[in-house]
Amino acid sequence: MEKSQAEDYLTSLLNKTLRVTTTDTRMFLGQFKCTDSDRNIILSQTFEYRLPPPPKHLAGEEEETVTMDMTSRYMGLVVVPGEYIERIEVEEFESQMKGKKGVAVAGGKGEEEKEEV
Amino acid sequence: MGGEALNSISQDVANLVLDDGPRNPAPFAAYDSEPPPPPKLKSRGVIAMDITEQFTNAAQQLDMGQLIKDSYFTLFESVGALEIMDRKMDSGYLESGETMEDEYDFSEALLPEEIIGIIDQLLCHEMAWHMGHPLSQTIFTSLYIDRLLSPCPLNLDQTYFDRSESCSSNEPLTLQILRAYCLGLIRTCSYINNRVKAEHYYEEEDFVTHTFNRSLLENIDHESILKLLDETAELLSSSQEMGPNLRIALGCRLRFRAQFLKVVEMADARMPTNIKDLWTDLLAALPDIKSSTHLGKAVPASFSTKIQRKLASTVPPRPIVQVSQGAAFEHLERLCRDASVVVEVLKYYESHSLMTFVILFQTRKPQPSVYARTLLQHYLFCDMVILGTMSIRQVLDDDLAATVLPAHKLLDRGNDDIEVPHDPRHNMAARMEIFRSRAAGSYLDILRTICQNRCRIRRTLCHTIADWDNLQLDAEELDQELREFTEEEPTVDPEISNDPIYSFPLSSWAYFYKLRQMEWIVQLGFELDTYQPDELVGMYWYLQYLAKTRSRHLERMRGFIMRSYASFRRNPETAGQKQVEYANAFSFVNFSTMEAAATYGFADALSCLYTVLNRLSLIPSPSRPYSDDSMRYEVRMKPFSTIGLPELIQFDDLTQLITQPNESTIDIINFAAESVMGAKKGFEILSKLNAKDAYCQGSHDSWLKNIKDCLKACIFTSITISTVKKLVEAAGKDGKVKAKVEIPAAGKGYHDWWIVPKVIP
Repeated sequence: MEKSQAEDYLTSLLNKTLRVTTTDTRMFLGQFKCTDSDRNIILSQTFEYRLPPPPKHLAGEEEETVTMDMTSRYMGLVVVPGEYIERIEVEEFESQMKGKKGVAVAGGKGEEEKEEV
Repeated sequence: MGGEALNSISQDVANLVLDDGPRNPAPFAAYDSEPPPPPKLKSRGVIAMDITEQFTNAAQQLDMGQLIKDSYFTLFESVGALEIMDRKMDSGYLESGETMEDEYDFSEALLPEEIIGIIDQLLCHEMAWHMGHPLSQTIFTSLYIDRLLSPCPLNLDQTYFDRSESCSSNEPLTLQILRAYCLGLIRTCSYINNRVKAEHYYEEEDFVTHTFNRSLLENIDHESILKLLDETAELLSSSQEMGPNLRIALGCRLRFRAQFLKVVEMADARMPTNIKDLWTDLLAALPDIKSSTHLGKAVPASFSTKIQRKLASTVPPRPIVQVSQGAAFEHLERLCRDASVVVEVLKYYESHSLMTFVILFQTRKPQPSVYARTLLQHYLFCDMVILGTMSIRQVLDDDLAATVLPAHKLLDRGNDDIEVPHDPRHNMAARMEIFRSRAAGSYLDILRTICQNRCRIRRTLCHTIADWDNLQLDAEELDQELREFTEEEPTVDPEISNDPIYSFPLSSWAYFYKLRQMEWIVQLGFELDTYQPDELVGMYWYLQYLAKTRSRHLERMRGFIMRSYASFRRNPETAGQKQVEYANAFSFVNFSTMEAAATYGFADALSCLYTVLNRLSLIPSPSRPYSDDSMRYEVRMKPFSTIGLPELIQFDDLTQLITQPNESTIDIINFAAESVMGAKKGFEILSKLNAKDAYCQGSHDSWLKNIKDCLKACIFTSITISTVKKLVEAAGKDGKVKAKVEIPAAGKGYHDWWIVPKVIP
């Protein structure tokens, strides 16, 4: 990817809702405001989501149930240091995805993405 | 619902009046009161797409230090961001191996001693909250409180600490006691929090009302909590489980909590109730608790900062606040005493006494706590009904009548009923209404301002003084228009000029209050340690200048009241009630004149004393490489710089006036001695006035104490002056004396507004 393309791509993400998962399995959901070459990410209006402590009686639970049970709390403006980021997701409207995908493909982005969609 | 909406609107309006910016200014945004609702993680039509790799690749292309950022997002904002995974910033950060929640067994029965320990610790936390610490560092650090609040219970059956089955039927007595106490505590806090939030206060500076997105059991009826407290107390008294001492200790704590809850629930009522007795009873309940604290056994494991991880909070994790039991009880006792006094404001005598009451209540030392102060605001202003019974107009008209317009046709309520447009009475009513709508807010703001913390009082007065200057000008215009309808006959005093002189009643009134507030600004400056020792000479000179101006203004007011009284007496039809109004206005003007005379006498004496001490080089002046006297004077006088009347004294003139280069030192010190003797006589006369004549009905005791303190400061000043006089007389031709001057720190003298130097030969 060329530098100008990279800049355009990151700029296009600004103010979108990102879900940033950290190495300690917490997830932060907020509006993308800023990033730099170290992949430090600033999110505003952020909520923290955390897996609840495992129940004592049952070990294997269905993934879906766990997601529902995630406890959230408001934290406001946060900066997630790049070194602790495990996963970044962007929220998109399904209805707008088709056009976007076309752009993404035309922009020559990885095959994986297409698969995931 | 409609009523509530109206309340909240009138509250908003009331809050708007004070010109000090938004209620939640940006620097305090850390405690956003209402976080937005959490977004749903799963919703139709929205998909989360993994972009980890693209993002990482793109970010790597950026240059070192290059930022991709939203153009509206500023570096300034980013400073406030919490850094995730930093243990000092991120309250959700877990050390490796650390668990999210505390391993605490809620089903375990506690010893009665431990219950006492927890309850007493909670009381310390509660008072720490009253002192201004957030709930997250105080009450919310208790695991038991957390258990009651999260998840939010809908009824009392959902409040058992032990959530396993069949716990409700056999809850140990000790846990029931703790549960009942905690429920009462939370509900008490909710009443207090709502009261504070409804009035004007400074978030984080005075108090933190933030509940971190937790409800303080507002959906549980306080009656049912009171019932639980009572039932538990009964159960306890018939129990054989524990020794009598422990039983008594726990019993008095339960009763105290029920009393506290009852009193804060009832405190909002502005009807004459027994609320004063309830506060006194609460105070009387404290010694029993205090004397049994030694029975308690602390349970430190039941408090934890980890709970902050679960609170909606935009601030870094913070430690538990430690307030000693001694300090907590002291604070609570003071709260009870202050709250029992504040109720007395509801008994209205007249407007001047009301203002005196508010001023003196706020000068109680230490200053009453935020809750007591917001109660006072509530009693004064709630729903724009003053003290629950009077319209704003009533109070304002009372004040005008008692100051400038006794028995005057401008204040005749009958004028309102005249609808004929050319009738002068209709015109008077219409213009008085304009005046009231302009002046009422400013007048009430004086009262509301005095209800703030000491520093804010001065700061706000500095802002609003300009408004009073404008009000005076606006009133002057109305005064001129009104002349046509009142058919006021001017006087002519050939000694002054040949122009006719009119009374200007409304602007006179505004000028009077403007001068009062200017005096307070200077006096509060002394109290708040604003001035350096070498500035005292100028500031006391300024105080006497303002007080003398007030005195002259009162002279003018008296003259016009006298004239109107003379014409009133010529008309034999009117008598009775109106006679009383005249007597009252004369009495107030006389009282205020006396008070002004004592003030300027004392201030003049102190100013001269400091002049002499300066001449003797006994007042140290700190080195100030970045400012000079005239620049500092400009800053000091900034609030007054826009005021038209009285004119600001220019710095050079002031220097002349205070250094008095043409007077000999001995003359100045002699003048100071005379002046302070005059002031002393003034304070002595004042101290003998009864409550009615001193316009302090409802607060005579505190008023008298205040005057006596002034008198003591006055006497001490005359001692200092005679010491200095001896020094001056003994000094040789070179004028050098050997002595040391000590200037007491703020709050250490006899009276906060009179900083009297101590001279040690």
